[in-house]
Amino acid sequence: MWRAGFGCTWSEARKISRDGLDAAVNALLAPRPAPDRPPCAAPPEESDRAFRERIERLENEEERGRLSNERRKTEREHIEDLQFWWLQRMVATGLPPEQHGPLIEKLALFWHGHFASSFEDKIERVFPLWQQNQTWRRLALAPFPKLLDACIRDPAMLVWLDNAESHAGHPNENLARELMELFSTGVGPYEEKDVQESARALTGYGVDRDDWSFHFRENQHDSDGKTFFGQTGKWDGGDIVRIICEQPATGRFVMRKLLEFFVMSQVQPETVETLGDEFRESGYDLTRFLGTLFRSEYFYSAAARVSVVKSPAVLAVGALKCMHAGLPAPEVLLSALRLMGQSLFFPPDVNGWPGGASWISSNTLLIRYNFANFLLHGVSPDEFKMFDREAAGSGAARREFIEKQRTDLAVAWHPKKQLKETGQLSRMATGGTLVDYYATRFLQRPLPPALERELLKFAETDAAGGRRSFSVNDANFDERVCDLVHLIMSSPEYQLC
Amino acid sequence: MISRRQFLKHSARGLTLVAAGTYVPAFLARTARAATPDKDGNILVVIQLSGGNDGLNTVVPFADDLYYQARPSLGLAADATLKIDAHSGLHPAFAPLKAEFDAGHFSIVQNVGYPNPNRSHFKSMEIWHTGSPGLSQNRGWLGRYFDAQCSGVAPRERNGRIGVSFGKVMPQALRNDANVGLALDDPDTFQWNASGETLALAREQKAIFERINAPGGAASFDTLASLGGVGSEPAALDFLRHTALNAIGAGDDIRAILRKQKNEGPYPDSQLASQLGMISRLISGDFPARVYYASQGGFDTHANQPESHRRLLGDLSSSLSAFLKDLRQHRQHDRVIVMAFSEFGRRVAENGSTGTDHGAAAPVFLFGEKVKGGLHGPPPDLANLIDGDVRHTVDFRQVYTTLLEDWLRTPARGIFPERFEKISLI
Repeated sequence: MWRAGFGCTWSEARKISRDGLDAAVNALLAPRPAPDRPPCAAPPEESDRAFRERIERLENEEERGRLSNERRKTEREHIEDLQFWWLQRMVATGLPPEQHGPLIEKLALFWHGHFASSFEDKIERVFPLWQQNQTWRRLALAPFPKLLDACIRDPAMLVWLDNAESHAGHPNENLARELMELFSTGVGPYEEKDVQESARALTGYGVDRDDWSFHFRENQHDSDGKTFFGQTGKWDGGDIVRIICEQPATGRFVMRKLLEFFVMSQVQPETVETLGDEFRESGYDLTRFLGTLFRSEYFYSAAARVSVVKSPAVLAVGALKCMHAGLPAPEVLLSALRLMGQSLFFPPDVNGWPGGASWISSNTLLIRYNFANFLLHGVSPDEFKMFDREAAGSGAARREFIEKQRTDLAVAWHPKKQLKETGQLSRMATGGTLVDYYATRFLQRPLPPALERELLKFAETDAAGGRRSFSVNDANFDERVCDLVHLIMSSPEYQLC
Repeated sequence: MISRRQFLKHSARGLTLVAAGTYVPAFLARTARAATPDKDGNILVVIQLSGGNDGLNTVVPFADDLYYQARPSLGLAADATLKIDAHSGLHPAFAPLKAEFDAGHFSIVQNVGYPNPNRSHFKSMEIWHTGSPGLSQNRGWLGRYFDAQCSGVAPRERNGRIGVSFGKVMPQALRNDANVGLALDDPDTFQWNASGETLALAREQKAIFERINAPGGAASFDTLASLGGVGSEPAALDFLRHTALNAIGAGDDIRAILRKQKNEGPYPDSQLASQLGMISRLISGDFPARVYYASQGGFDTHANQPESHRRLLGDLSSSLSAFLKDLRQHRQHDRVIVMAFSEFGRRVAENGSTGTDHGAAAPVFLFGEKVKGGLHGPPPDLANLIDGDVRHTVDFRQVYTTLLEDWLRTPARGIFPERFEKISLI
């Protein structure tokens, strides 16, 4: 569930083990209607054009600057709303048909990284990014050519890669180049001439800035003959997509990215070739491919086990799903994700997030390891040096220090209450059962014995440092569970899936 | 008497044997981190002036009438500048640095840029960071320098080759494959925090945390993965343990050095000054980084430039001058060179809001005992512009190549695919 989704709640895990793998895979692949529009992503009431015309009429230059800044600021606030909305939606996933499925959101995240467009720099509008996000969600399981076709007609993408103004006679090559280099074939199979010819085919693919819809400007389209990958004709964008998807390189390039995302950080080239060619020959049938993959021995093989580094979104959403207690305040979650290196809708560049080992650096790993503290105590990473409980002394000074740290930004997780409600409290008789229960909730099985030993040691240390297992009758039971989970989430094991 | 440096080298050699076991006590691992063969090597401090510094009003070509024609309200009168030769004068806010110039420790490389100048902050900054216009390149020029330094070096020995950047995120210039380098906004946050309610629990939690993150053998993500991991354990786990231990160890080292070392002389009260103050303490405290990165923002002076530019240059020059004096007091001055750059200069002609728009080539500044002080290259040719901007006469990669080869002693050939002619700067 970590690799196909974002980890799972206790009840999801129970359902899967009851109904079996087949039922779970079928449920994951079942189509679901797309969500309603999030409240923050409506296009501004006044279109960009109307706004520009209005402020151009203003005499006062300062006033003009102030209004533009204000508009920019509003969009900036709203993009944070959209980021939080999406994270909320990921947390709220569950097994269909009762809930919307995690696989669709996971794939939307995959396509967002694959066809990376950023709010920053050129788009700076929330609506087109929401629109694009919805496209990746709607087409999450669609055959790849459909996605590639949606990509060259996506208004945010057309602006992001400078195609919106591209016209016959002066084609802009940015989209054409990335369409192959980063989105489909990868570097290698095409030549500069192919970039130039496809750029001509994409001229006139523009955007109506009034409502951010796709707008084909026929009079700016170069309708003359082009030669692309050796095929000559009066090609337009649709033809370019078709020809790209005929190339073996496309099947393999997309397959490599899928396998790296879902299965393991380093995939054997032969595997990529075989599966990539099959994928292309099947008409890029993603539903069939993932259905087979999730049932395959390969997916559960020793080489594939815990070999994907969780992206920050997966790490964070997964923690929240495992706790099953809602979300912390947006500023806590969004700043942690930013510092871990993955602000949604702000990929570092058109290449998306490189993923794998690159998620881990000395800076990001410490943020990941301290993440449980941020969540459970409502500390924003910017001020977490105030959270040094090792240096906090003892006695009354310590109590005061800790009291000051409690904020209402935290996730409201009450483990004892939760155990009582799910009828499991009576089972938690020893430190061993507690460690076993929470390690199973947060990590994959089997638990490495060394890690289990260490966690048990912690469960069997009492507040004074003596050896006594903590129990459900202890007044500080909830605190102790949070401490235990903080350790679990600070293990290298929790970083992988 | 055995010096601290010698001791560290010895214990590092001993450690290779210890490290073959399954667990390295944290204090030993820390000792290893502090030990490197290049400890007394040269150091580069980069200061990024973000937003596009107005080169023409920093090094003023007062002998050129075209300058005053293009800048009727922004142009600085010859007498207002700090004259450095018959053609050029420094912005008056550079007064604290004028002494460095006169002593031959401040070098100005004129008209630095690159072909087909990009006027987007983001793109142009990326070009300066990666050193490769027109090429998709994730790693930075300094990151590739680290990679060249680290190739064939075991991860636990790599730490002396790191760079330290002050800021929330690692600048792209330092991005590398070898997974070395630290970015810290505030050293106090660079640690793992236990959450235990009592001191005893917090301590127990911390000890367990260190044990579950104690690395087994020395290996990198790549080599381990190709070997299929250590025993039955996934390769990535060990990579994670290494990274965690490095980060925490380096964080501890940095905090310890910052606590112990003192700055000599007063620094102004600014973010840049605070970053440079920390860098000076790390250098005098023998932290083994070869590259430090600091930045100052706010140079995007589209409107009401005179006041803000004076303030920015004032901050830069007083902070930097305090830093250089501090290094001299600690006798570290002969192994440090500072380079200050901006992603572009500004448009020659002023705009309608007493400001300037994005431009192209601009001067790059170098400071240090070992630089060849003075002006390098002619003043900007204002009669021969490119789309209203200063044309470059020096490619920024010539400056980088000079620093790499003549200062950091690394061939630039592994870092830039093309060869750039060096400049006589060091």
